[in-house]
Formats: sequence, C-alpha cells, structure tokens
Amino acid sequence: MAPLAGIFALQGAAPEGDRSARARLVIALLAVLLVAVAAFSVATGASDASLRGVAAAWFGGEEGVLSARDRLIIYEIRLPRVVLGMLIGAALAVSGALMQGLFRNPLADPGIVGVSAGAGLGAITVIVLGGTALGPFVALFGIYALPLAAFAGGLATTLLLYRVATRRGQTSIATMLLAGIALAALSGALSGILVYVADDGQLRDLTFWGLGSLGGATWSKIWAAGPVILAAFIAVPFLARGLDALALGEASARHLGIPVQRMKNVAILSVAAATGAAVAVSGGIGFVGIVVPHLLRLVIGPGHRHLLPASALLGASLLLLADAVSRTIVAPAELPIGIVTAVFGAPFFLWVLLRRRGILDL
Amino acid sequence: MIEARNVSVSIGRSRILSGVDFCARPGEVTAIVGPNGSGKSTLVKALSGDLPYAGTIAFNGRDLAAMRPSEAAVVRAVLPQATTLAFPYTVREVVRLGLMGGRSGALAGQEEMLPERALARVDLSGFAGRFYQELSGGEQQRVQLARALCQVWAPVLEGRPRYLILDEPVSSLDIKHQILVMQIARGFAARGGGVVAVLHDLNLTAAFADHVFVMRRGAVAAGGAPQAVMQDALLSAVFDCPLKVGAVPAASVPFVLPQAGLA
Repeated sequence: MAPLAGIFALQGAAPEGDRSARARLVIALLAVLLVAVAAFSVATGASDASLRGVAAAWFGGEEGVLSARDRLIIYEIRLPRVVLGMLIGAALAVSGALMQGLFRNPLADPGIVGVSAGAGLGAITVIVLGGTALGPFVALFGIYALPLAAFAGGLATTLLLYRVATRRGQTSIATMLLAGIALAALSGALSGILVYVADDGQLRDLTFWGLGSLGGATWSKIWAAGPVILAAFIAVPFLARGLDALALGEASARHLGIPVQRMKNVAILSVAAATGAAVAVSGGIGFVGIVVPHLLRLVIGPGHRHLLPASALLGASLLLLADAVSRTIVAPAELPIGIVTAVFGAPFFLWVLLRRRGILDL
Repeated sequence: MIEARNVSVSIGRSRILSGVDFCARPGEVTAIVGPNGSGKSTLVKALSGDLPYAGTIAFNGRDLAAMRPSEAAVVRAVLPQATTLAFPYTVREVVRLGLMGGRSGALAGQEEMLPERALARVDLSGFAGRFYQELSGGEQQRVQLARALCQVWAPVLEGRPRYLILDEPVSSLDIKHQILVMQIARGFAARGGGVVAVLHDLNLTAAFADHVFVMRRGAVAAGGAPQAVMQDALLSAVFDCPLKVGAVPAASVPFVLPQAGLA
C-alpha cells in the first residue's frame, strides 16, 4: 500500500491535470517489479538451482559455489529464457502502444489486426522454403533470416492495413478490425498451404514454433531477435511527441510542427520490426499489446513519453509472469505461453469492448 | 502578412476554389464569410497547408510550400472546426501540446504556467484536471483555442508577426463565449499578430473584423472593410436570401437582419 499512498501524495503536489510525476513514479516501480520478477524467474524451475547460489557465485567471489549442473541450468536454460521473455514482452507491449497511437485507436493490436499473422507467414515461409526456394536468402542472412522474413510479413500487413483503414488521415475503427480479420485469414490460408507442402522435420519445427512458447529459448535466438527488437526501440523516444500530436488528428499534428508522414513511416517500421522479431522466435503470443497499454493508460494517462517506456517494462514483467504460470500450472509439463496470455487477455479485450462499446461508432 | 495569389484547389474532379486572391495583415482580424459550400473552409485548409493547391501562398513573404512543418508551426497556429480524441488526455495535457514546438515566445521560465494562463483566457480556469472527452463541444473548442494560443503565445516573435487561423471558432459557443473568443482574436491582433477567422455570424463579423472576404462558389465575391462590403444587395445575392443591413449609429457598425423577419 505504501507505493499507492505515494502515488496519491504526489498527485496532490503536481499541477492539476499533470500526470507526469505520477508516471515517472510508476515507471520506477515497474522497473523494480521487473527486476524482482526476473530474479524470481531465474531462481525457480524444475531444478533446485537457486538464486542464492547464483548471487553467491556472482558477488561472493568464491569459485565453485555453483555446481556445473546448476551453472548449466541457470546460464544456458533459465537466463536465456528470462532475457528472451523480457525482450518479447517489451516488444509486444510497445508494438501495441505504437499501433494504437498510430491508428488513434485503443483496440489496435498486432495480434488482433493480423500483423502477427502476417509476420507468422513470413516466418513459416522461411522454415518451409528455407532449404529450397529461399536457400540463398537463408544462406545470406543466417540466423537473421527468420526474424527478417517475419519483419517483412509484418510490414506488408501493417502497410496494407493502413492503406485500407485510413482515408484522408482518419482511421475507421470498424474498417480496421474487419480488414485485420481478412488479412489474418489470408495469411492463415497461405501459411496453411506452406504447412501442407512441408516435410516431417519442418512440421515438427512449425508445431514447436506455432504454439507460442519461450521453451526453446537459447542465446542464439536472443542474438537473432534482440538486435531487431532493440532497433525498433531506438526509434521510440523520437515517436512519443508525434504520437501525442497525432491524437488530435493528422492535420493538427502537422500544424504543431510534426512531419506526419515521416513519423508514421517510422512507427510502422518499428511495429513491424518489433512484432516480426517477437513472432519469429516465440510464435503467436497474443493480447500483451492490448492489455498492457490499456492498463497503463488508466494509471498514468495516454501521454506516449511515459506510456511507451512503461509499456516495455510492464510487458516484460507480465510475459515473465505468464511464463511462470505456463511452466508451473501443468508441471512437469508446460502449457504454451500463448494459451496463458489468451486465457487472460481475451476476456480483458471483451471487458474493454464492454466498457467502451461506443468506440465502434467513431 | 499572409498573401494568397491565384489559389485554386480541386478535390477529385470538382474544383472547390478557383483563382482566389486573399490577404490577411498583421494587426487585423480578417474574416471569411459566405454560404455553405462556398469554399471558406477549403481556403483556410489551403492556408494551413492541409490541401495541395495551385498558385502561391506566402507567410511574411516566405512561400508556404517551401516551409517544413516545424517552420510553419512557428509562424501560425490553427484551430480546426472540431477535434475528437481517441485517448483520455486531461485538458492540461491537450493544452500543453501547443508548447511542443518550443517556440511559444513566452519569457524564459514562464512556459510551464502557459497552460493555466491560456485556460483562464478562454474562461476555463479550473478545468486543467478534467478529461477532454468528458467536456461539451463548446468547452472542447475553447480548450483547443487555448492550445493554439500556447503555440503562438507571443503574437510577434523575433520581429515577425505570427498568425492564428480559426476555422469557425464560435460555431458551437454560447453568446458570452462567442464574444470572448472574438475579443481574444482582437487582442491578438492588437498586439501585432494576424487573425484569419471563418465566421457564419455576420453581426459578429461586422462588430469584430477589420477586413471581410465574402466568398461565393469558390471565388472571392467581395473584400474590404465591413462597412464597405456589408450591403443589402451584395449579401442578399451571395447568400441567396433577402437581407437588410442597418447600422448602429454610434460606431456605424453594420448589423444584418433577415427581411422575412421584418415584415
């Protein structure tokens, strides 16, 4: 309760209607939460390798506190999984917040409007055709071939969606959602054709990939997806101001001095890169992009300067928590994390719709 | 000065504006009046840089087409007809958006106080913490005016006049706030800035404008001081409706009544 009291105390001190002090406090708390959740995730698992052992090995200076087996479990299994989870969670949440700002619409989410499906199509294309038709592409880009293909698929979908749903700077929410359904169906159908021609080995790869899991996390996956996600994040600070201005509409954003077309291009590229990379390494993990920014807007408001970094932090924490649930709820087996996020996220989405039914009339 | 020469705008195949010459001087309130569909808003959108146009538009001698958005944002602020927001911003957060270019022209250290001062000016003191989406249309319109005022707080910056472009600024306001907004426009002009306002109310126009452009079918039908332009025959023809212009003797300010109501 102490942090909550702090929030309200600060609220009294700040000028009326200014939520930036509260937002900074929330961001600090979210950072602490993420560290705690990450430490918890590294410390827990099927094996009894503990955080205390890790801490002792890091800070105690004594060699050999960690057994070789524990060292392997922590550094090669749990740590990559936690790092990947944080990257993916942050990428999905930031993609959602960016898309919502870009479309001026709190219901836009890469999973709901077909961007993830498009990225998935790109990834499946590389998995199935990587040995044959796309051999040179895979040979050229190596471990980056999969995230790059997913990025291309996500980019194509986002551009198409924007084209269809936006006219003279106004986005029709109904058109966007319906176009998203069509694009997801098309990507799904094309993916289905590829699955149909896939051989047994590829099918196994596809199945593992498509369930949406952090289970296969390795450092090489992090090296493949991480740079693409971080590249998208680098653009984020430059987008915050423009997205706030865009909330007034495209013309008003331009009147305020924002180069709107360039800003939209950067936002679309960032969404496609972050979503593409996330989908490439972890399959379909839905709803993070809609739940996280929505919750945060309730607390710190919609200003993107704070919403975007806060989304990254909360997205990372929530995905690690979802991963913890997926690892423990049917232990010793694992539930795909995409199922966990959908079980919580889909009802949340319905709740948002219920509260703001009028939004579809915009 | 804002100077438009031979400006034409086409949307699709239809020509909305043809060969419009227009100017708005600093120190003056310039009104644009005319019937629905006469091209008032299109002219204002062209001046704001929202529409592709043929011809030339210049602000203080600089070609609008050659200005980057950030440069245009220094020289003018625009109030659109209505603004809806998709997210729950507070009134203060909306007004602060006017400061994002960093060229309000307020004295150093005073910028943080501008949102409150701008809100006070539009008679919305105490509204800073309210949610924009929960306000009435007229209140939202005044919040947007406060935002525009923040953007060009100093009507003259580095010796160059700045402009307020207002598209139907009073259409959703009650009479008290109509007068308030027109007084804000007059005050901005009195301190050296220029104001362009699309207006429907001919009597407000007569009372507050220095210069009136009357538009009809995408062209300028007449331009000049209110006393010169607001004549029975001209207005009746432009608005296609019998009108009677009188004058309040003291200031010889014209007023316009429908003839139908006088019978």
